[in-house]
Amino acid sequence: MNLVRQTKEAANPQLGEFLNSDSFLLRAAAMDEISNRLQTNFDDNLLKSLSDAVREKRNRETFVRGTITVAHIGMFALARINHFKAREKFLSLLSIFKDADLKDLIWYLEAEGISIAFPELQTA
Amino acid sequence: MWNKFLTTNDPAREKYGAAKNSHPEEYKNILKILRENEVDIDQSRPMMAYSPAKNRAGRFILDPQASLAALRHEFKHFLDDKAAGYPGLKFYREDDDKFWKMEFWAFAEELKFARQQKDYDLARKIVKLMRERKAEIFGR
Repeated sequence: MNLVRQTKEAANPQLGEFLNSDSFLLRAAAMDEISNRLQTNFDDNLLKSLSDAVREKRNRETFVRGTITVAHIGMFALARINHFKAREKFLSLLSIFKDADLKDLIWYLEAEGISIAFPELQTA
Repeated sequence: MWNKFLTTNDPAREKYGAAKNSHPEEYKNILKILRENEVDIDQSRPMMAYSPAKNRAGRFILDPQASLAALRHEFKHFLDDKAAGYPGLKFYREDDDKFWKMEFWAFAEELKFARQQKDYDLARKIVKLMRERKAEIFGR
């Protein structure tokens, strides 16, 4: 199933349900779509849904491929949003990633072509 | 919960040992291919994983104690990623059927190893891991 289409067609409350799916791919796709919507129409509730999902234990422990976790994808989704609240949230969430997990997050962001504009990341 | 190839997810390791000892030629050859393709090889932790990157080869986390079956699994992910032109993780995760297909073919490499050894107990353990991974992908 094409998860991009499925999440694009979903209303905001349904995206919230997708974040609770047992499918880690659907949770990751919902994070992408929330990021897309926040870039065009900022919404505090959606931002909270995304940041709560990044914090969620199973998202931090579930590897999508290689060392990349669902939570890393959530951080990538946050990093793409050009809004000060999203930036603040990204920076505050950085502290939950430690040691190898933090290095893996930085590696993933760079692998996806995110230029690192956060000095906190460069010195991590 | 899927924790990649930690010891518990490398069922061939206990019986057949590390690939570098059991199949040194194939082990060396795989590492040679990875290096020739400028794959970033990280041997700093006890796990096996291949993380795709965008527009370049990804990163291969290599546990020197991993079995040949586990090595072939991750190497298959690299080969498939290279064949696809290094499109980045998003390309793979946009479609659950496509994602599962790639996992299936990587697990098939492990099953091939079990068949070569005529080790049907190992094959059953691999199939169990496949089912767990499939359930996590599709959420059922």
